[in-house]
Amino acid sequence: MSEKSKYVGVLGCGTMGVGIAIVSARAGFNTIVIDTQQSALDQAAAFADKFFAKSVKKGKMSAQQKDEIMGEKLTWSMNYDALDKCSFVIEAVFEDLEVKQKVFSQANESCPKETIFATNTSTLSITSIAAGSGRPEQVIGMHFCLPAQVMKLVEVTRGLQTSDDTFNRTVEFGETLGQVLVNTKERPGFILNHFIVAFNNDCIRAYENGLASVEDIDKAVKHGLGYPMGPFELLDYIGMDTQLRVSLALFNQIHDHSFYPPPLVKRMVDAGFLGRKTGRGFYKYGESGMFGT
Amino acid sequence: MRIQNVGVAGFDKAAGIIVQVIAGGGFPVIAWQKDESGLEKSKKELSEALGNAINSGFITKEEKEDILNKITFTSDMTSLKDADVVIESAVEDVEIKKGIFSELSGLIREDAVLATNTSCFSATEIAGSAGNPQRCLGLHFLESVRGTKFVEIVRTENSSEETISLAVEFCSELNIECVVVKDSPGFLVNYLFVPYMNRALEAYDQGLADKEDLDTAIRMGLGYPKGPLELIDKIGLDKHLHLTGQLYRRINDPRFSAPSILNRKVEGGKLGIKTGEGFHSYK
Ligand SMILES: NC(=O)c1ccc[n+]([C@@H]2O[C@H](COP(=O)([O-])OP(=O)(O)OC[C@H]3O[C@@H](n4cnc5c(N)ncnc54)[C@H](O)[C@@H]3O)[C@@H](O)[C@H]2O)c1
Repeated sequence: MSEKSKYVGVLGCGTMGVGIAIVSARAGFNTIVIDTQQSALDQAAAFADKFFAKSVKKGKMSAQQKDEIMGEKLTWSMNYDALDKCSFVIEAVFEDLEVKQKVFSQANESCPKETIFATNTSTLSITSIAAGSGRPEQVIGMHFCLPAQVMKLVEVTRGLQTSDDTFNRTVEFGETLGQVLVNTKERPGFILNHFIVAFNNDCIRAYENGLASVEDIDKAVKHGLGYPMGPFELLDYIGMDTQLRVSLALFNQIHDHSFYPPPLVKRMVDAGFLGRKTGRGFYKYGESGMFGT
Repeated sequence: MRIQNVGVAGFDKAAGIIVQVIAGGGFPVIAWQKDESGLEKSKKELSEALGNAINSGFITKEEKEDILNKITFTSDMTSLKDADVVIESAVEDVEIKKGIFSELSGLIREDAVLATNTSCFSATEIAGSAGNPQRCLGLHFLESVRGTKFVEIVRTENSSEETISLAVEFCSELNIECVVVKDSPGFLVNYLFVPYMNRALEAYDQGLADKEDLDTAIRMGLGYPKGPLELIDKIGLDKHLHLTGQLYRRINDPRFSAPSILNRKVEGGKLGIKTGEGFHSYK
């Protein structure tokens, strides 16, 4: 691999960005992490440090490897010029079309002309994001799962203009990252959100309509279908604000009733019942984080 | 505990799960089936199913023997007359189920419980053909791909409170998870599962992803034990088509209407693993 291809840029280091940066640095890439907030960079660096310290403790890497990653592989910056050697840039900024178009057009100024721009968008169109990038043939979707540093799956999605070369290089890159790639058609929600958003809304609606209690639906789904979590346990992790936003984003593009958020979702958001992060969602969480207390 | 002797009336595939749970829980089971010839087939199928359960690590060889030793197969319905509970698990045909209920209600004791394992029909309707529907209910047995078993205790319009609590007690005796549900179409699990599966089939037909990628995404991204296409191949495409069709007829909700690809596959004889091909090929 050329010297150049060893550099990866990650734009935005919130929940997803920091996970993607960890994946990239762990795979040996010099990873440049960009955010507009110094506080976000500091938090992300602390998070990565803690994560790798745990990896050392678990015997997954040596202390020396950790130091090398934290000291040399990961660079934290607020300046897009730091992207000048990157062969891949992955953006994980706010889920907002204008913001995503803006960060790509900024990166377009700083990056070599062959650099591929991957977007981690969950609900927006790859083609629309590409339209503001200045290099639409080199824009592609790489949708990581939360938490990215643990989950192996990545949905790869081509926009209308994405070139074959971009696609092939992305597949190769994804494999170097040690991820498992699946290829999806450009459609709102790709595979995962298409199914999970509709399923969760079905479950909320069933509860809202008095079919059964939250506990019984969770029990039925876990024991009857063998899913790892009940829908309401999962929703309390996801957050009702996110469920509302993602549901509306999908519904507004597809106009399929399955994606429309049941009225209860909005009411829970208004009441501040967002899930674990506010101590109450479908379940109540005490200070210990246990439900029901 | 009032329940000692359990009868299973009719022996479709799902009955295999029922006898596994009940005989595995230590109760003797009398398995009745109308025709002599079907008995051998049922025995063979059950033995195979238990063999698969051993291979998957869900039960041991000894447990299999134990289970088989607890089951008496018979084609004589009067063998069920002393049962404390009889669970009907005949083919998914409402008239056949009603017929069995009406025959059994004249045969078993007044205080014995009569249950149907129906997945797509109304338990209340089936119970209507029994003399005293207060002692009737639905007991819908499910088995996930992980091997976990689960029972939906279906409260019909006429089930007595005593009947329901006896069923709850029975499940806890068997050490199996259960919920009490309304007698609404699909109860809980299928009401939530069937639209998910239909959505998956439709998305696949519309080219969302190829079959391997679709299954991999759901397994690895959502942590479900199987992807939708490998799962329906296991369930049987014909079985899902029947279920979704019956539920659609009762609910009239488009989420339950059978996707066209499902009809095409079934018409083409591609029913899943059992025919060597469904969405994936097993040849
Ligand atoms: N959270 C999830 O479960 C999840 C899963 C898969 C994909 N996604 C997608 O990933 C993306 C990020 O989501 P998140 O949950 O990590 O969000 P987040 O709010 O946690 O992080 C976004 C980060 O982007 C930074 N940012 C905003 N504008 C920027 C700019 N112009 N330049 C550089 N940085 C900027 C913010 O300061 C923040 O740190 C979204 O597109 C989201 O849809 C999220």
